[in-house]
Amino acid sequence: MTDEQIIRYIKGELDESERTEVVSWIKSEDCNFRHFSKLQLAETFREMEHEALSDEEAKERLAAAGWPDTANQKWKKKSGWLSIITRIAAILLIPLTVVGVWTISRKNGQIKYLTESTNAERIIPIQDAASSTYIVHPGVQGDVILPDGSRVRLNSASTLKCPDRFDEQARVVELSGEGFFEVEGNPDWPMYVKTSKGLTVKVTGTRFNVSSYENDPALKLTLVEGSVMVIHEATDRQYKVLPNEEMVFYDGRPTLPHKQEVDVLPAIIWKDGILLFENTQMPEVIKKLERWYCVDIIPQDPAIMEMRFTASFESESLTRVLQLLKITSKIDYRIEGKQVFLTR
Amino acid sequence: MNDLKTLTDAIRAGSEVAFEAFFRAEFSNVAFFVNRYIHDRCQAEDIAQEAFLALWKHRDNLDTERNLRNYVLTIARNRALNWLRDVIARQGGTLEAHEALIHSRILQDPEVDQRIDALETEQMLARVFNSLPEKVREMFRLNREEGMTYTEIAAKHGVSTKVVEYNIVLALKAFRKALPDPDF
Repeated sequence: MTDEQIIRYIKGELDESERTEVVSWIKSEDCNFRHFSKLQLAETFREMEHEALSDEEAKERLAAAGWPDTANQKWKKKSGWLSIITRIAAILLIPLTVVGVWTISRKNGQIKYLTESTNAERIIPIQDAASSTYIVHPGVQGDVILPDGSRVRLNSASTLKCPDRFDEQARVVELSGEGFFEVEGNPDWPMYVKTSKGLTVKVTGTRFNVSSYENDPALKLTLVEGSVMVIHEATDRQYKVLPNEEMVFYDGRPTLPHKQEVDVLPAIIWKDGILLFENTQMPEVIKKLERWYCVDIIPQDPAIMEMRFTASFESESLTRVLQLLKITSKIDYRIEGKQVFLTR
Repeated sequence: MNDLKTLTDAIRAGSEVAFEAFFRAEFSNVAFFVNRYIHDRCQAEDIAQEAFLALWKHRDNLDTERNLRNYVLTIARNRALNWLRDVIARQGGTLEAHEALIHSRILQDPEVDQRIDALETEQMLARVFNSLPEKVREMFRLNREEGMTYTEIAAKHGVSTKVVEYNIVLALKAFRKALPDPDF
């Protein structure tokens, strides 16, 4: 399904059989729905600056709606009950929208962590309780509120596993992918974020971003505020990270991290829906685009992987991103269903 | 946000002038927004009208910290959702019901709130200002350029103080901070 056809659908330009086709495409996969939803919202809000009505038109419409007769009662004081009810209704509106996120991908299941060792001094505590797994598909982001009130924004194609209740000793969660954490402060109740790379992040109250995709060659931790410790599980070695620092642990040599001072914004800007590339190498660009737009990108010329790309996108369609890539880097593209082929 | 706050204040205090100007300025956007999800122009316009009237009806409870546009779009969205649920329930299995299901899912996405929050208010306020009655804008100019007090303006235009108080002054107040440019 091309973006052009989807946009025509959004604008109501299609006939019934074409509409049926678009609708069954949207329903066939969650990923397609996400893509449609993204485009739908972008298209709708892009056009939200319409001209004002003419004076007459406005008067007619207001009259049709019973105005200003409705207004004549305006000086009557509302009964206390009614005003309480409207207030309650306003409060109820908010949780309803939050529930939407939770229901996306909540799964329940008992899990237990490995207990093969019986170290008395376990550096990373074991959490033994019913847990939930939050899965965020490619092409979408999700918010999770942890049982202690801490917040996590999950980037596309990420998973977070956390217990339904944290135990008294520690707060342990498991992350695969990328998440921006805002952890409620409590020095006596540390939080441990475990990753599949054999590294665990230990924090007591802080804001940080951790990216640990399985198909990325490194774990990257960026600290905004507070302080965190990264623990290498096999050796119990600990590495301290300070605000405005970024620490990168490459697969294969996890005990030799690379640390540098950075501007944290580029690392966390994804959480505001912005896709940013700053002289980024193509392998990383491709992976980010794949997660962001839920597609497979296949470069058909090895020279492409040597190139770099600088741009920032906010709610642009994939086609527009690819067009820009074509203009700036002379990389041509061909979309076939959910596959994108890059050629030179 | 100060400018918006004063516009909200004016409506909350019962200024019909301010409400009508806001209605003129924003109606098309709300109707357009609803129509994008229900694909029924007439129905969308009805829902938009209802949303504005609901805003007026409940103006006593308006939160001054909240953007008026958010308020009206949120009401419209909830009404659109009710309408979509109705379609799903009554026309189950049809193409329309499938579309309604897809659109109700999108409308419930928190991204809608984020996008509503992110809408620029500057252009909207300019539209509201231009939608004010000629007389009010003229009074605004007198106040801004010639430094006339509201009482003097009321006297000059031969309107009662009450009219000035409940309608015009409130509308003016809404834009005193918003549009410092005296050319208006």
